This record gives sequence, structure tokens and C-alpha cells, in this order.
Amino acid sequence: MIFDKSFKEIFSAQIFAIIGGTLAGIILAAYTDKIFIIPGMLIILPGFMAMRGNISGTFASRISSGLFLGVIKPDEKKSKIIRGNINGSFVLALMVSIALGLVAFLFNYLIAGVIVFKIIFVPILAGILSNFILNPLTLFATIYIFKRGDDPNNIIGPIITTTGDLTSIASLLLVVMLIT
Amino acid sequence: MNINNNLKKYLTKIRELKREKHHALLHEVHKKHHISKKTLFYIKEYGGKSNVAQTIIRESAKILLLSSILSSFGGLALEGVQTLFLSIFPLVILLPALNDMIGSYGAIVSSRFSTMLYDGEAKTGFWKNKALKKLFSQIMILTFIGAILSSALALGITHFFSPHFSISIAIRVFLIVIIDLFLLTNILFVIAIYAGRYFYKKQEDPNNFLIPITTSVADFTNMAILSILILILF
Repeated sequence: MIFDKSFKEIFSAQIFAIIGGTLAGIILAAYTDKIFIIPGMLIILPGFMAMRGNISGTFASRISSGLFLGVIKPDEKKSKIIRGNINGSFVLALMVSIALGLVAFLFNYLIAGVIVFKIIFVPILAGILSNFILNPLTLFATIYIFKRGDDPNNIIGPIITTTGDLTSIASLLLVVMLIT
Repeated sequence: MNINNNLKKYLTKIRELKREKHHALLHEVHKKHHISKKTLFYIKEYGGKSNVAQTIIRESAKILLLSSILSSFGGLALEGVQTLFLSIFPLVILLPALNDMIGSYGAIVSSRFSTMLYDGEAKTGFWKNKALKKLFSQIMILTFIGAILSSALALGITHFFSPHFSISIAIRVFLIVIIDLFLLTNILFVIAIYAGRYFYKKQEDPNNFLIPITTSVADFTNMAILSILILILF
């Protein structure tokens, strides 16, 4: 049966993804002149959005597996596994943000022949900012969905990518506006 | 009571195993106490001897760095057609939504396929695997619905808020979305199946690898396909 509970779960999540993505797109379209004022922002944008989705997605996926297996208890939010996941995700986001900044700087220099140091700091600051919002949100959303009796694997992915995009674009916009 | 004590002793032993080591004890406990191999693998992976954060960073750092750099290459392709791309208002609105849809399909396919691997449901090939075929059909139907909904939303917003709207632009944007999404979902499945099996065989948690791989390849390909289609159709 194709149109089962799992299809309905993915479909509802997809609607969420489309609406959230379109909202992020409207912000992007409305602030094009501000976001893209620093050369190389289009190089950073996909990588930055992917990073947020990847880190929070795998974070949620590990927590889901742990919850289903009974290794993580929904009411023990300060357990060793959860703390390790939060710390690990934070360090990973910082590492990838630094790499993204350096790659954009290099592309700018090698292809466009311009030296823009600001492009290194934009993803780092935006990465730290979005981390503080997304990590707790991912944890609580995964546990909440699990407690409700739904499968977080079907629902959390779209929620994370959507909130990740909104947070990413808003953080990048905020940092660009602060730096320039 | 005795059985419980025995089990506790076994689980403590498993937690103390070096995480790189594939130990016969896992199989023994699975047989004797009927605890799934998935649970035992998780206990070993994030158990007493392992530093959870360090394990996650060690397993994910390389792939995340690689995937983000790969996505940046995709961004580079879009940077090449920046002026043209930024002038097509509905496509700018659609960019995060397309990324979201592809990202969430990637996450769903990856995590569901990882679970299938752990449960032993993914042993047969694609054409013989009912669960996988069902997932593929579901994602294909959802891709079609998603393409229609997202383009309708972006085109509707453009129609009301931007003067640069015409039926010709609407058709071209819809064509870009549908071609892009269908190509990418197929690519996602191929990657998830091959990479998932590869990492599972290597005794690593496929959850840590599949999502970054599928989403980054999807991001890169998404940008590349978008840039090519923009150049062809506009």
C-alpha cells in the first residue's frame, strides 16, 4: 500500500518544507541586494545550507535511532550520548564554516581576482549563530515527535532542512548586515 | 535474576569493546538474549569506551567537509550565471524550497535505507526488494506533487509582487523544476543504495555518512542542473 501512514507523514512534512523553503526564498529574493553585496556569497550559500541540514539531520537521525533502541531515554536530556551529540555537532559546524569561508575566499581570489577577507568570517559567525538556534530545536523536536508516537525519521528531516534554511539565510543576512 | 545479571555482564563487556573491533560477542548476545544486532551495534558504537562527540566528529568531519566543499562547487556554477539567475525572480524564491525538498528526500531515503540495512531488509537487489520499491514509488509521487506545489507557490508570489511575469516564464520555470527534481531523486536513490551498503559492510553507522553524501551530491547536482537549464531555457 503506497498511500500508507508513512506516505502521509512524509507528505505533511513536505508541505512544511515547501512553505518554509518558499518563506526562506522570499527573504532571499527580498534581500538579494544586501545578501549578495559581498562577492562569493552564492558560493557559500548552498554549502552553508547543506551543512546545517547535514549536521542537524544526522544529529536527529542518531537521536531517533537511540530513542527507538531504548539507549536514549526521552526524559534524560542531559545523558552522555545527548551531550556528546550536541558538542560534536557544534564542533563540526565550526569546522565546516571555517572551510567554507576559506574555499569562498580562494575561489574569489583565483577566479575573480579579488581579495575579500570578510567572506571568511561570514560563515563562521553565521554558523555559530545558527548552531545556538538549531541544535536545541532539533533535539526537542525529535524527542517530541517520538513521544507523540510518530517516526521521527519520516518527519524530522523536512523540519530540520526547512528551519535550517530559514535560520541559515537569516543568520547570513544578519552577519552580512553587521559586517558591511 | 541470574539471566538479568548475565545480560548486564554481557552489555558491559560490549560497551567496553573497542569501537573499531567487530566482536563475536555481539552475535552471541543477539542469539542468546534476542537483542537486535542494531541495538548491540549502537551500544558498542556509542558505549562506555567511546567519547561520543569524538566518535561523531571523527566519523563525520571528513565527509561533511567534502560535502560542503562539493556544494560550494555547485554554488560556483550558479555564481557563473549569477546575473541571469538573480533576474529570474521565481527561481530565486524556489532555490531554498528545491534544496529543502531534495535535502529532505535525501534524509528520508538515507535514514530509511539505513534502518533497512540494520533490520536486514536490504539484502536483496532493488527489483526484488518490496520495501525499497515502495519507498521509491512514494518518493516519486511526492516529487511530482512537490514540483507542482512549489512552482505554483513561487509563480503565484511572482505574479502578485513582481512586474516581470509572463506565461512563457512560468512554463520555463515549471519545466526547470520538474526536470531538476526527477533527475535528482533518481540520483539520490542510486547513491543511498550503493553508499549505504558500502558503509554498512565497513561496520560504520550509515546514518553518519549517507545524509551528508546524498544531500551534498544533490546540492551540487541541483546547482549544476539549474545553471545548465537556465542557460538552455533563458
